[in-house]
Amino acid sequence: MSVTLYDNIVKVVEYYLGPAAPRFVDRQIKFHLNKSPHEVSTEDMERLTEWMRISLALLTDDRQTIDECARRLTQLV
Amino acid sequence: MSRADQMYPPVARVNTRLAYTALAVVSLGYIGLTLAAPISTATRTYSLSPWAVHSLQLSVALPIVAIWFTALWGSLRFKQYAEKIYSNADGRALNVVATGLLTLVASLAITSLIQAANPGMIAAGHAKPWTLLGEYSGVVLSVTAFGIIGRGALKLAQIVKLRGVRQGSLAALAALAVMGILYGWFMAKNPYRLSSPDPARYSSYYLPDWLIIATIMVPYLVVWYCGLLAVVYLRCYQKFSSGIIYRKALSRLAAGLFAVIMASLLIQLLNALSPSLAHVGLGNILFLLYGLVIIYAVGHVLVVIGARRLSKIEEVS
Repeated sequence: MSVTLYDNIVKVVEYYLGPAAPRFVDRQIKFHLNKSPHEVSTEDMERLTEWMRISLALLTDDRQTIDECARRLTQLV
Repeated sequence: MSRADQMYPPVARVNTRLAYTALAVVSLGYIGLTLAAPISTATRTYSLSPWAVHSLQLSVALPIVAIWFTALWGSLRFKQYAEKIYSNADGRALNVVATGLLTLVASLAITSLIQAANPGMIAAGHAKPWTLLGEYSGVVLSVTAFGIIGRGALKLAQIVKLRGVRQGSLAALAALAVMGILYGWFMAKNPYRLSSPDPARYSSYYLPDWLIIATIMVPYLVVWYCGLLAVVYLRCYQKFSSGIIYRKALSRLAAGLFAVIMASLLIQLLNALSPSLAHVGLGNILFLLYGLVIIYAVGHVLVVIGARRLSKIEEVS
């Protein structure tokens, strides 16, 4: 089975949110991109990364962690 | 289908209102039985008026009821979080642990209710059947609660491929050995184990030694081992699960569960040893018991804080 962009996004976010990552990524894509999770494409990544940055800021005060996650998501494109 | 959308049979949700109502009924029964208990000779020695006796009884019963409600609040908050993420492996495992925690709260309330009826039953000449009911209901409910908690905790440890479990299990075995030796030693020294020469004092078990060992001591040792293993599994899950932010949120929940399980186990051990610890003094035993009950309540508050933090991860969009 080929690895999709969605799988790669989940893999990056898993490093920060563990088992909650797939659910978090799904919500971000559904709410902010109005797409089903597997329809996410490279063109969506900039918007998605920004939304994830905002959402992660609600969960942690650690700016370094948020920036690192955003950087790793950007590198997926 | 996304990784978070796998289909599983719907989870049976706990009826929160029903749970609080049931606990309120048990609490009223407990307070009623406490106040209705025949006034002992020891109390008459202090020349206390009936009002003073009832005030003293309420000063003990009301904080206990408050702790039950705190425990129910914590368990239900945890259960709601687990139900929210039930479609994933971690949610299903946490849901089992939460069910076990709810069973533990029910077990605490039911066994206390039975104990509260003890003085009345002894006065009515039913000391033997009531003592046996109290002992065996405690054993059955504890085996059930810790069996469920242990099974859920094992599922969590399996998510992190049982990393760190071997070393933890050895520590659990060592702790069990200490608890078992203490339990066996004090049980053997209990002068009221089989019968009581003093008609004012009832026997602890009304059972022959082999039945005490087979049906009370061995099940309690199994319960304690399950509880200790559950602590080990939860610790391994908290330590080795992925997610920097997730692990931080999980740490409060894990600390709360650790406090609840350890306090419950030590309360059980203390209850089991109390007939043999008369020389330590009732005041000292009660001081220790209340300390453990407070740790138990604080544990449930930590469970609430942890469940809230984890819920926040599931709510942010």
